Amino acid sequence: MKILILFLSPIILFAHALSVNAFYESGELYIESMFGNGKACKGCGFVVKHKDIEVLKGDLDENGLFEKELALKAPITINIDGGMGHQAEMTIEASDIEQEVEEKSVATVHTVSKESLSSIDEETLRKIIKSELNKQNAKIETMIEKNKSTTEQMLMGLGYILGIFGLWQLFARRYQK
Amino acid sequence: MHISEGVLSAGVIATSAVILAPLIINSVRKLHHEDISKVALLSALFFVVSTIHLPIGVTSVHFMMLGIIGIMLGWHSFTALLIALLLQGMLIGFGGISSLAVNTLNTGIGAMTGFYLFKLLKDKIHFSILSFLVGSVPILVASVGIAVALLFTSGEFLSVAKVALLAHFPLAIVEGVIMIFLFKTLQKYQIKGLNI
Repeated sequence: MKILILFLSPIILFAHALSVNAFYESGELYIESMFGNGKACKGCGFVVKHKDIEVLKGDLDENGLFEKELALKAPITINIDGGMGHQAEMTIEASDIEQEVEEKSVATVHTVSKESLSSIDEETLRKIIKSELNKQNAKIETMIEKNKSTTEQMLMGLGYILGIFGLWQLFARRYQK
Repeated sequence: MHISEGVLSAGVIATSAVILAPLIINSVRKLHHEDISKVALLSALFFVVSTIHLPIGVTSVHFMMLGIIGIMLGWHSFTALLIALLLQGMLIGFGGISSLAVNTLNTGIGAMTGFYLFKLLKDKIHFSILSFLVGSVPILVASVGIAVALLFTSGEFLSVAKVALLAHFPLAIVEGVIMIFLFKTLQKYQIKGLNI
């Protein structure tokens, strides 16, 4: 038994779920993919599709990233193949791209209005701030995904198992007596 | 190794669901309330050990402990594995809902192999050899199930199916060794209901 404990103790607990995060900004496509333990999906193959039509195919780099300037139309679906049957998919909806167009126009307003900063009304200022925050959003989401605790999810799963079977036992005890 | 979401064809998914459904219904109907806690315990065991990975070359395979699950639960293994795999698919993206029936069937058949191996060979061969076989054979059976499901989906998965089969051999040996120690401990304490 001691040998069993010694054997199991150094093994790192992790779930190998594959996740993908991507955004399309200023004509640039950014893809990042990682496994549940935060390890980058090194050299994983990806396919970018627009309405089931393949528009781009390639591999992620050593950091599980891909960045390229491209002219794409929404909706964009990104499929990552992590090998051994591990796949992840993400869709960038048309609304996200529309928002991007809106951001561009806001950025133009922002540039023009630099000369007359005092003339920026509250609504424009609100849009500029919102667009800047949106740009950071995708990167923050990736960071959150990296920091997700697998232990927390495992404990949650164990809780569900005990809950499901506990309730089952409660009802079964009543009806089987 | 679980088969991920979106990999299998509709035919494979439907066929496995049709085969699995009566097994689950039968298990649920026959499961006595005194045995539910045992099913819960082994479902939790599978849920946890499936997250322990054994790195093999460029890939990794996870522990399953199907032998002990099969021996302790028999046909109820399918129910325990279904719940564990469902929660894994929903919470940690391990496997998936569409591949749930296939994964349950593969692991369940593996567990049942362990159950019948133990039943047939008990008192016929040395206990350590029996323990090793009960630990390792179910893993190989489950890996064959994965390979078959992938091949029925598409011939393109041939290389993946081969890797899945080969990668499970070292795991089968490791689980076999673990099972020797585990069975000896369980035999030593003669825990009620284990029949070891």
